[in-house]
Amino acid sequence: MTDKSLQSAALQNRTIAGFDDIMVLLKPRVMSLAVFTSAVAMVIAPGPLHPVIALASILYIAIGAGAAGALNMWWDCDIDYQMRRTRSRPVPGKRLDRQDAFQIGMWLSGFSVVMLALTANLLAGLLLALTIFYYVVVYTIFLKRRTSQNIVIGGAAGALPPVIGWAVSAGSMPLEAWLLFLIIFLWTPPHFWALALYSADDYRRAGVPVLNITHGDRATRRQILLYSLSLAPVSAVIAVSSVGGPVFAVAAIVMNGEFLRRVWLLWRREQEVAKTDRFLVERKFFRFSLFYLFVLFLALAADKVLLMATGIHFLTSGSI
Amino acid sequence: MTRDQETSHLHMRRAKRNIAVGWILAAFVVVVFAVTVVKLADGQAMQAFDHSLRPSLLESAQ
Repeated sequence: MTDKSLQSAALQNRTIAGFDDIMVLLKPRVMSLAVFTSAVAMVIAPGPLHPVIALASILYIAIGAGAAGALNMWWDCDIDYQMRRTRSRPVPGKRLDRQDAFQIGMWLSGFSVVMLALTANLLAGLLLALTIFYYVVVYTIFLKRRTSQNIVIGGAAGALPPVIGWAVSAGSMPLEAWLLFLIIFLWTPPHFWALALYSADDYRRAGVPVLNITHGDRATRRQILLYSLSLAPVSAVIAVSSVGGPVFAVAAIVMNGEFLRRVWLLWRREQEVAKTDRFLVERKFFRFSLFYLFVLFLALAADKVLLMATGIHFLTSGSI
Repeated sequence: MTRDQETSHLHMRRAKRNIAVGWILAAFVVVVFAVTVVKLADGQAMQAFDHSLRPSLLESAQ
C-alpha cells in the first residue's frame, strides 16, 4: 500500500488491515482443531517421524486450514455481515478488502499444499488440497446456502486433518485413520446444531438453511440425539483397534456417558423452555462437545506414550 | 482525530503489519533450513534411480 493509498483510506474514513485482522481472517479456532487432531494422528500413526518434519508439517496444515478459513470469509462476507456473531470479522467489518481476503486465501492454499507435499509426502499434500477444496467449494459455495444437510456433508472437511496427520507420519491412510475421521464427522452435526439452536435468529436473517430453521427445533434436537448415539460405538471400535488402549477406553466411557447425558437433557427440552434460560443447556453442551473431542484425542496420544514406555499393548495383551 | 493524525495512525498500523510479516519470513527461512538439514541427514533414502545399477538398489544387498 502506497502513502497515497494511505491518505485515500484516511479520507474515506477506512482503516487498513493490521496483522491481527489477518490472523482473525485465518479462523484461529478452526485452525487449532485441525492442528490438534492432525498432531495426535502423527503421534499415534506408525512410522518414524522426525520432530522437525512433524512440526513443519503441522505448520503447513495450520496454514492450509487458515487459507480455507480466509476463502470462506471471502465468499460469505454478505452472510457474515448479517449475522451478529460474525459481523465484526475483518471483511464485513471493512478492515480488510474482500479481494485481499481472496488473494490471501488462494496464495496460502497453494503455498501450504506445495510445502506439505515437499516436507512430508505427496499423499499428505493432496489430502490437504482436497480438504481446502472440499471446505471452500463443496461446503461454502455449493452446500451452505442450499441444503439443511450442509453441515453434515460439509463436516467431512473438518474431519480430514487426522487423516492428513496419519499420511504425514506413515505415508498411508489405513482404517484407523478413517476411524478418527469418523469420530469428528459424526461429532460435527451435534456440535454445530447446538450452536444453531441458540443462533437461529442470526441464520434466519442471513438466509442460511440450518436444520432448525428448515425442519424445526424438535427435529434438530432429535437429530442431535441420533448423531450422538451413533458417535459412541465409533469410540468403542477405536478402543479395541490398534491405536486404542486403556487410557482411551476409560476416557471414551466417561466422556461418551457425559456427552449422552447432556444430549438427553437437550433432547427433552422444549424450545420455549430453552428460551427462558437463554439456551443454557445448549450453550453448555456446545462448550462440552469441544472438551469431549479434545479429551478423546488426548487419550489416544496418552495411550501411544504408554505403549512406547512399556512396550505392551494393554487391551490386546501383546507386545509391540 | 485530524486527517494527518489518521494518516499517521494508518502508517503505524501498516508498519506493525510489515514487521510481523518480516518475522514470519525469517521464521520460514529457519523452518526450510531445518527441514533441509533433516532430509539431507537421511541421504540414503534420497537416492533415486539414475539408470545405472548399483549394489544399494538391490534388495538382497541391504
